Amino acid sequence: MKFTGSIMITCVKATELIEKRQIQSLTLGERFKLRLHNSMCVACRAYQRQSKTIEKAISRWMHITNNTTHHLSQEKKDKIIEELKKL
Amino acid sequence: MESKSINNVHDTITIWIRNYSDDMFKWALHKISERETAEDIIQETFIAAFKNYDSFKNESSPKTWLFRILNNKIADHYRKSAKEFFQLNSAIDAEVFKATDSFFDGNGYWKPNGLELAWEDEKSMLDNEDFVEVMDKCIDDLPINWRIAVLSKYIVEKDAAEICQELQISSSNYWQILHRSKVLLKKCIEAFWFNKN
Repeated sequence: MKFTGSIMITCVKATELIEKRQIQSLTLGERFKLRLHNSMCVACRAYQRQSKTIEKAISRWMHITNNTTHHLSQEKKDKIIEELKKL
Repeated sequence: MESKSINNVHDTITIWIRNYSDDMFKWALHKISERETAEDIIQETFIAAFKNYDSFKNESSPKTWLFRILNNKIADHYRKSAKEFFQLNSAIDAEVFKATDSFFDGNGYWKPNGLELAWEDEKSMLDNEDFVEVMDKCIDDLPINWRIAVLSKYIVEKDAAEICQELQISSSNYWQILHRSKVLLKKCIEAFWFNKN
């Protein structure tokens, strides 16, 4: 196996690889480096789980309608109705 | 269309506006977070509904049909602004990259913050209604083009390769932005959720 650079990577790099893996497959070298790093790093192992939690949070957030009190104003509704009459 | 049927269409759509436009507006505002743009998109949606009324079949409920059009309009909006923002924001990107670097120590390792355990209880966070407000804030705080990159996946419902193509960015640039956005979201959630609970 040939490595470019050191086989020891930082947390910045490791978390980058954790995100990259969700989008495209890692190279053999990247997989090895990440596994090695994770075997020694509690924080990155935790990040791996946190990343999935955040993903779920975004997905849920996207699929709810806001509970806000915002409404489309009556003027705007009337304006849309007016615009439609021109068609 | 004959004038009689056109009147019917007008009447129907006027009723739809009364019944559904508030829900549609909330949905759009949630995803776009600019009031005026969201209003415009609602108008465009009803105009499109009017023009394509013939293709509305009573098989689906009007609301489902309107939301389908609305989601397409929201996706179009994202595509359009993505192209705009991805071309001119590299300076801001560099700055935010630097900011996220500060979450790590000088050697590129995590600075421990004692919140690692709190994250393990995912359910109590995600199921809490108040958490939505934290997400509102944290997503809103992302630089606009990063927000687009993060949300595209859910709005456009396409795979990464297609999103990159639409945003005209390389896949390596895309996952770097996603990575940094995730780190920013993590920090924001820690600051505004865990530290307050």
